[in-house]
Amino acid sequence: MSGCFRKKLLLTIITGIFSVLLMAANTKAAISASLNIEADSIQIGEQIRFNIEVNGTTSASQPDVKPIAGLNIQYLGPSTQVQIINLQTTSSVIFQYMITGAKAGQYTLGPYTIRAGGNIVKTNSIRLSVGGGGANSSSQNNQGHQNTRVDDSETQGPMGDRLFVTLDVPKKNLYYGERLPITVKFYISAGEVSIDKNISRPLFDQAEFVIDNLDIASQDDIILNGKSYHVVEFTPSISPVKPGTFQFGPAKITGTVIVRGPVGDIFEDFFGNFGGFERQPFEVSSKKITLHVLPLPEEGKPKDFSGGIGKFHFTVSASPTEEVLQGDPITVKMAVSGEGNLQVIAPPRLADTNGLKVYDAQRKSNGDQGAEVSFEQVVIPLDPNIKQIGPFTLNYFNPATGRYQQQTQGPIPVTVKPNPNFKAGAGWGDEGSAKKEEVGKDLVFIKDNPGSLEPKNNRLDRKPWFWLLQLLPLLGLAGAFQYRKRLEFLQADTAHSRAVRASSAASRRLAKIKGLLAAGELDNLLEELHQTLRGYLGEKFKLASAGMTGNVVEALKTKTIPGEVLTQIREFFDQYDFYRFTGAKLEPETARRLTDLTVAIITALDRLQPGRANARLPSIMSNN
Amino acid sequence: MRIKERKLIVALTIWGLTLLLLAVTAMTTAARTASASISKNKLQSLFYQANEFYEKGRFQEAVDSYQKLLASGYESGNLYYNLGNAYFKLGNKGRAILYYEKARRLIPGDADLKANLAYAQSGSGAGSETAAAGDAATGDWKAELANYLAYLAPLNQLFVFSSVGFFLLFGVFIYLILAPSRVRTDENKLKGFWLGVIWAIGCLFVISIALTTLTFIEHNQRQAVALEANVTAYFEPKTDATLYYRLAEGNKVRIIEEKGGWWLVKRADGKRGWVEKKNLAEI
Repeated sequence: MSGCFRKKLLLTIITGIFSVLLMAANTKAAISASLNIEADSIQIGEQIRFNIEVNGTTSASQPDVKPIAGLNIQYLGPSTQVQIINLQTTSSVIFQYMITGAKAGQYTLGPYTIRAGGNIVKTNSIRLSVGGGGANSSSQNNQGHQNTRVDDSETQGPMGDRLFVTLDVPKKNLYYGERLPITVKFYISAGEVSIDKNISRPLFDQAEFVIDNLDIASQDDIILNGKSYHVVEFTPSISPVKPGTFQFGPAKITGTVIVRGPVGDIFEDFFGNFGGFERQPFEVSSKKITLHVLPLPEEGKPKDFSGGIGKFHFTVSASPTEEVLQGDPITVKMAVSGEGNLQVIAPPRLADTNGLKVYDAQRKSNGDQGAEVSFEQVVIPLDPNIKQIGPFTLNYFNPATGRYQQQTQGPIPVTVKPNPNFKAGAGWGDEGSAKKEEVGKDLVFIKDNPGSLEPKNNRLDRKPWFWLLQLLPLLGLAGAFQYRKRLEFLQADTAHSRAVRASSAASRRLAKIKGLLAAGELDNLLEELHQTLRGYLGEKFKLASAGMTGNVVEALKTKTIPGEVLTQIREFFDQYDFYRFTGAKLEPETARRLTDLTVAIITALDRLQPGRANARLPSIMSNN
Repeated sequence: MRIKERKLIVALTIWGLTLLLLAVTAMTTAARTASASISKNKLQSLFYQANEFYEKGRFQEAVDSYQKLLASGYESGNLYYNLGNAYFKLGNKGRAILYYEKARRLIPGDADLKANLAYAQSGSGAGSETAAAGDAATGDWKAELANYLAYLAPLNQLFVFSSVGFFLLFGVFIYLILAPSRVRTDENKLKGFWLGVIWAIGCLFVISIALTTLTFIEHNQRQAVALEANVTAYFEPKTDATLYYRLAEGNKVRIIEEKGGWWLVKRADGKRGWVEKKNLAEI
């Protein structure tokens, strides 16, 4: 056996023995679970780690750790350990959690059930006490820090002294309507916490006060009790809207911060814990303050109280003041400044309005930004003897003294020139000072006459004749269409339209002939008959009617006209020629016969297609 | 042929105008025709008698006389107006508003009527939430506009206007058909003047038809007025049902449905409830 072979054999034997021993050790190991916690008591906002450790296996299901009200439990992840000591192998799985105390109280963690290696194991349970006595009471520094804060502030929230809010109100007794600046400071522990997102403005749930100007006033870095803080300061103003005693606050600030967590192992830091920092939403509140809102005293309250509460002063100026024409406007400018409720203060009042027309003062700026509000008032001198405008007075309440105060400015000297065009009383009068007329209200008196008395419900829409009447325009329109159509037909150059036109014209002429016959006027009768038949034939068959003779029969033979009609036509023209060229007098009997002949011809020709029979012709004939 | 056409057009125009005149006359006279059974003089004397009672402060007798006149089958805006006044003087604001509303359908533009109706409504609990919710068209500009348009003119007058517009419009159409050479240019287009005439008459016609329709719908809706204060509307037509809301005296409601002695009514704010008939009077 070569040395190499021996070495390989030895290594194989050692490995086999080791494996057998290892397997034996593994099979002997019992699976158990335990719950470990770093400390059994913490303060609100403090974080500790707790682990659920499953021994005797390298694979186990994650325990079902349910949320507990008052505790913020965050799962950090699992870790697995395998150890061989004196050929004894031990293995375990550790599930790691982070607990933050959110509310003071006693809590029980566990027991938790874990499924591992086909077995179900249960952990022990542990009691955890969360104290509510301020942030990190174990820290002497923090105790000192609490004591140094102003009385009207308190930290309430899970972030301890890393984040807190203070609320300062300069006084606890204030007057209804008084505008009081307060201070809200938001402390952020530098290095431990940093703001992740924009923090909210201070939030108040306060119906009894109007709160404005909640924007950030300033930001600064300070050292407080040996710790470095970034301080965001808000200086809102409050103004009570009713008297009484009220709880003011707390001022709440919300947002999200990045907090450095407990130091994890290198793998946690590397694989996703970002160096031990984590985002946390927060809500911190100051403590409440009791404020007493006093009503404004009635004693000494001036009639023209401006509503101003604070300390004010004002200036007044006017333009023009020199050589002002009677009836011309003078603009008075007033600026009120000071501390207090400038937004609602009324303008200074012009005390003496005699000889003036005074318009209401107009507010030109609200004093929202600066501590000044300005007014403009138009004053018109009606009296040329006016020498001054004013004085102007402003009555306000000073909460510092608890009394009403009056400030007076002016009067402003003016020179007014008489205006010859000015008409006193023409719309100028003393409307400004005149009282508004109050008119009475009552019923207007009854009507003297009954109006148009109608049967009840005499409505047109319920009358059938009304709706039938509306058919008339429709019928008219239909008739117009029909008429237009016929007109166009008659104007057309078709055989049919020519036949209708010929028949129509012949009807009219025959009616005239009937009149001549009845009157015994036979001189022109023959000529009329000739023109009638000639015109009829010419129009109907599109022939030249002028100079038409009996030879027209030759032309008509091509028109499918019956022979007897053609004979009648020839007979008529022969008769006409006879009387015309012989000069023989037409006897009534002959006249009637010729008329009948003409009617017979026209009637016969009307019956031919495409012409149409003229219904009126037989009546003419029968009458004769 | 041209002369013939001209003659025909003149004849038709005369015929059309005569017809129009006849129609208008017939409509206006028919709307005013009174029954011959009771003489108008007698009715008028009854009215004057009622007025005398009113002037002497004998309001109940005035009411009785006005009601007697109404019972004869006749009505007028002034009669309803005076009756409303008499009821108001008797302290019966619900009935006063009822008769003002009736008068409003006949003389909607009457300034005295508008003033008295507003006064009665203001005195019948206006300002209270019930009245505000119950009164028509409070705050809703569309409802207010519809209400204004629906009471712009009496319905019969609107029907006459619409009918005249209808006749005029068709008269123009007929003329366009009969005399094309007069209304059309050489390019066979309608002359500007006639186009303007058609537009003007057409617009007037459409407006009058729209107003007539709106007023017609308003007048054909069954409406009622609460005769007493705090008239209760229930969820169901029975007195032990849950109370839904209350109507102020004089509140106008629409009647949606009827069941026995109950009306399902709809308030101006859309709330529907069952109200006993005895507490309401139909306009």
